[in-house]
Amino acid sequence: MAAIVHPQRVPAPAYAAPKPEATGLWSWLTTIDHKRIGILYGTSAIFFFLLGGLEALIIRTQLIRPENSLVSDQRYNELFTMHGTTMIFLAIMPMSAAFFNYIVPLQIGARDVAFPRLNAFSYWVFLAGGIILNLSWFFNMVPDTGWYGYAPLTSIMFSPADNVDFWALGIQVLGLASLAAAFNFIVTIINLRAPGMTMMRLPIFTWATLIVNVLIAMAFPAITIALALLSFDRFVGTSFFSAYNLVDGNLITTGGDPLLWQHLFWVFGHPEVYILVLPAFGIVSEIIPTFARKPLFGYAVMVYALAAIAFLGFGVWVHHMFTTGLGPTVDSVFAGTTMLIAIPTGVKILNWVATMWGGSMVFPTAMLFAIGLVSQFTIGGLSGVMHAVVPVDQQHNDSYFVVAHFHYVLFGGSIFAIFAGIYYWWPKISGHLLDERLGKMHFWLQFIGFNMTFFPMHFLGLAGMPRRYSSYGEESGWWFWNVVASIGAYLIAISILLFLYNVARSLRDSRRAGDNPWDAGTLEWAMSSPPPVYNFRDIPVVTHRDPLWAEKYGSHAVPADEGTLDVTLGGAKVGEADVADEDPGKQIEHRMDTDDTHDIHMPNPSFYPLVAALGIFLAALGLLVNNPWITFQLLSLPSLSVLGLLIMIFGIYGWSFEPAG
Amino acid sequence: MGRQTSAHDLASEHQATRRRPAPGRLGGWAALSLLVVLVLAGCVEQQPYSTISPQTAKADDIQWLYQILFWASLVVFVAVQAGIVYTILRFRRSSANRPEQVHGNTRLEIAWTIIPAVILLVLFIPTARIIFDHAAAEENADFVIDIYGKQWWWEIHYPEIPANPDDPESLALVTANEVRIPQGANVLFNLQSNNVIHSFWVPQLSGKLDVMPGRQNQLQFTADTVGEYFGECAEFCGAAHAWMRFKVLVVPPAEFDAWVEAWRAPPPVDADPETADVVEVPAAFGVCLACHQVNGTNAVIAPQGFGTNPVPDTGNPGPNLTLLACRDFIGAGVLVNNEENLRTWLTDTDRVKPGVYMPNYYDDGSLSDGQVDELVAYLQTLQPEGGCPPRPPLGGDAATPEAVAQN
Repeated sequence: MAAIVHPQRVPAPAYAAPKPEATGLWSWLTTIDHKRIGILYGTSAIFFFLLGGLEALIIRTQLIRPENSLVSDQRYNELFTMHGTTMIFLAIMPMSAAFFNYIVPLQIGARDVAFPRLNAFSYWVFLAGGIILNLSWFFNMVPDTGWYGYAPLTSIMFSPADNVDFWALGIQVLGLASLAAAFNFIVTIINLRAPGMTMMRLPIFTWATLIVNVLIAMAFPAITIALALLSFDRFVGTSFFSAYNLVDGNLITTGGDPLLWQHLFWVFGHPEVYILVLPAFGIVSEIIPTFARKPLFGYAVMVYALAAIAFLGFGVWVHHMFTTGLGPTVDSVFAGTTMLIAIPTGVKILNWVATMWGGSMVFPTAMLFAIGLVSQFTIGGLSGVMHAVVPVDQQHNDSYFVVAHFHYVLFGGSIFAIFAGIYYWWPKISGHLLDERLGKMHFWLQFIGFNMTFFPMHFLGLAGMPRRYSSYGEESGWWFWNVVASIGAYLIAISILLFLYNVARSLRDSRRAGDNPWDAGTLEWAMSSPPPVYNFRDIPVVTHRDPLWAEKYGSHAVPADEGTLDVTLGGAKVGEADVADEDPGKQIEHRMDTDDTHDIHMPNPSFYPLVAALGIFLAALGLLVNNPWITFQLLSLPSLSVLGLLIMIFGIYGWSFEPAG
Repeated sequence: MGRQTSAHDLASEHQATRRRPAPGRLGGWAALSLLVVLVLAGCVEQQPYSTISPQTAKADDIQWLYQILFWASLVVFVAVQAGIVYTILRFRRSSANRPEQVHGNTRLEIAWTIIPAVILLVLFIPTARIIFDHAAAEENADFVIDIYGKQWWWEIHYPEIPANPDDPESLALVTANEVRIPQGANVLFNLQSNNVIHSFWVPQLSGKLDVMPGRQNQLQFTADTVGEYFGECAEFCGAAHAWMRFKVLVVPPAEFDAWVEAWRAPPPVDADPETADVVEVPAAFGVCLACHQVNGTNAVIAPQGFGTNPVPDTGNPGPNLTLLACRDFIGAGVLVNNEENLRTWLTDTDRVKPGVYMPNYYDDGSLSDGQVDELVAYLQTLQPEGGCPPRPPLGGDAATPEAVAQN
C-alpha cells in the first residue's frame, strides 16, 4: 500500500488567469462559458439526483413490510413514476451533459463549444423541463403512469387530470434541450478539434460523447413524435394510442393502437439506455488507463464497440415488448439482435480488464468507482442476456428481476461511473482534491448498499414480485428480501451524505490540486485547475493520442503513428507535420508560458438564451392551465402559451442580431 | 354436453403423453443451490408466485432455459470477477517505473469477440425452438376461456359452457378472479381488455402475456397437477395495480363438472319454485343490480364482458357474484372473504381499495346499516345448498406440508 502515489499538491500556477472572471448571479444567468454551463448542469443534476433518491427512499420504506401504509397507492404510483423520470432525464443525462460541457472542449483543445449561446439555451430549457415536471408536486397532479407511460392508461379516459400532461410536456421540453445540445456537441467534436487531433486520436470520452449525441439526435425525435401524438390524444380528442374511445357516451372502436405507443416509445427508449450508459463507458475508459499507467487496451476496438452498441441499440427495442404477443417470428428475431449487443459490451469489459492487466495500478476513489462499474455492469449485462431469451423474459418481464437488471446497468454502471468522473475531474473543475479517506468510505458504503439493495431484487423477481406494486401480502413470501433491499437503500443514502460532506469540505480547502494531479494523458490536464475562461492560450497541436504522456514520457509511451501527420483546423487539412520531427506535446508547454492573452477572442455573455428558454417554459406551462378564463375564447388558445411563444420569439430574435463579441 | 366429458378424456390422454423432462443433475444443483440460499436467508416460507417452481410442461421449458442461462451466467460472472480481483491484486503499483505500454492485442480481441458470439449462438438455438414450440402448442388447445382484464379485477368467461344447460344458445358461464380449469385440459386463454393494458401471469404455470386493448392475445398451457395457483397482474394498470390478484384452481375434471353444476343451480335464498322461475335478490341488492349479476336470480341485467363503458359511470360491469361465498378473497386479493370483511368492503370500499370504481353506497347514504347487514348475510348465502364445491389444495410453492399431507 505504501506504493500509492499521492497526487501532488502544488501552489497555484504563476500564470493564473489574467482577467478576473465576472462573478455574481447575473454572470451565471448570462454565461455562455462551457465550463460554467457544465457546472450549472452538474449542480442541477445533483439536486435532482437527491430528489430522485428521496423518492426512492420513500418507495423502499413503503415496501419494508407487507401491507405497509406509509403512502397511498396513488402516491406510490407517483413516486415510482417521478423516481424513474427524474433519475433518467434530470439526473443521469444532465450529469453526463455536465461532463460533456466541461471536459470535451478541454480534451479536444477548443475554446468553447461550437455554439456557446445554444449551449446556454440547452441548459436553461433543460432546467425549465425539470421545473415543469416537479411543479406537479405543488399542484398535487404528479405524473402517475410510470416513466414509460403506456397508453391507453395515459389517455384522457383513464387519466382525466393533468398528471400526464405535466409528464408529457416536461419530457417534451427536456427533449428539446437534449436535441439542441446534441447538435452542438456533434458539431463541436467534428469541427473544433485542435490541429492534429484526428478522429482516432480523440480521447475515448470524447468519442463516447460524440456517439451519445448522435444517439440523442436520432432517438429523441421518436419520443418527440410520440409525445406530440399523445398530447393530440389528450388535448384534441384524437385516438392514436387508444383502441376504444367514448363518443357521445358510446364506446367505439377507433383504429388506434396502444402498441403504436410502445413501438415509438421503445425506439427511443432503448437507445436511451445507451445514452445513459455510454458516457459512463467513456469516463471509465479515461480513468482506468490513468491509474493503471497504461494506454487503453485496444483503443480502436473500444471505439468500434461504442459505435456498434449504439448502432445495434436501434434494432432491439422489441425486447421490451416480448409479452405483448407479437408472435414467434418477431420475438426470435429480436432475441437474436439483443444477444448481439452482448458481444461489443463483453469486448469492452474484457478490454478494461486487459488495460489493468500488466499495469502499475493505484486505487484512489475514482479508480474504485470505475472498477465498480466494470464489475457491476457485468452482472447487469448477464441478466440482460437472460432477458433476450424470450420465454425466460416472459417470466422476468415487469418483475423485480428486471428492476434489479436495469439498476445494475444504470446505478451500478452509470451512477458509479458518474461518481468516478466526479472524483477524477473534481480537481480540474474546482482546483481542489476531494478527500480520499471520505471518498473511500463513500465508495465502500455505496458499493455495499447498492449490492444489498439490488442483488436481492433478483430473488424477489424469481419469487414473482411484479414491479410497481405499492403493497404486497404476507402470503407472497416477499418480505425478507424487501427488508434487506430497504436497509441497503439507507446505506446508499448515508454514502451520498458522505459525498456531499466531502464536496463541501473540499470547496473550503485551501490546498490546491495542481494541474495534473493524477498524471493523466489527455489535454484537459495540461492547463491550470480550474482552467482560465479561454482554456488554452494557444491552441495546441496534437501529435499523439494521450498527448501529455507523449510529452512527458516520450512517444514510445503512446501508439506508434504514421510517418506524417495531417494538421487540421476546423476539420479541414491545413498542412502536414513530420511526426519524427516533433517533440511531442512541446507546443503545449511552450505556448502556456506567455502571458499575452490580448488576442484571444471570446464571445460575450448573453441573456437571450435564457429569455428564449423562459418563453418555452411559459408556453408549456400555459398548456397545463385548464382555466378557460385565461384562454382566448376564439381558438381556445391559452394566453400564457401565446405570451410564452412571443417571449421565445423575442429571445431568438435578440439572439440572432446580437453581436457575438 | 360434450365439454365436460371431453375434459375427462383429455386428462387421461395428457397424463400419458406428458412431456416433463426429469430435472437433470444441472437442474438439481441449481434448485439445490437456490434452496440453500433461500433457507440460509430464513426464507423457508412458501413463495406462491415463484417463477422457479414450474408446475406445467410449459413452465418447465422456461425453467430449463433459465437454468442454462443461470449456469452460463454464473461461469462468466465468476470468471470475470475473478479476473478483476486477480488483476487488482497482482498489478498494484510497486515501483515508480511505468509498466510496459501495451496498446492492444488483435488476436486476443478477436478471440473474445468470437467466443461470446459462439456462446450466444448456442443460447439462441434452444430459445428460438422453445419460442416456436410454445406458439405451435396454441394450435392444439381444446378448452377455451375468455379473460377480460378490468381495472382492477378479472372477468372469466367459459364460452363453451352455456349458463343454461338446456339452452346451448344461452350466455356463457361467467365468474371473476378465480379461474377453474380441469386438470389436464389444454387450455387457451383469450385475453382481452377494453380499458388499459394488463398482464395475465400465473408464474408457476406459465410466463406472462399482456392483455392488450384492441387485440386478442392467446395464452396456452396444460396444468396436470391439481392445485391452487396464485396469479397477478404484471403490467402497471393504474391506481390499484397491486390489488389485481387472481387464482387458478386446477381441479380434477369431475370436480370441475360439479362446480359448473353448482354455478348453474340457483342459490337457496327465498327460493320458492312454486311461484317463480327465478329467485328474487333482497331489496337492498337494488343498488348492486346495475353492475353485478347473480346467476339464477333476477339480478341478471348488468352488462358483462366489455359492457358499454370502460370507465365507471354506467354500464361498467362489476364481478359476477354467483358462488361468491365460495371464493377466498374479495376485491381481487385485497381482503379475505369473510363476514367481517364483506361488511368492511361495503362500508369502506374506496378506503380498502383506493381508486376502485365501485361506489361507496354506505357513505353516500344509499345503504343503511340494516341494509348492509342484509347484504352481508345475503352474499354469504351465495353458495350451493350442500356447501361450496371442494377447493384443490395449495399447489406448487404455495403448498405447505399440511396441505400436501391432506392431499
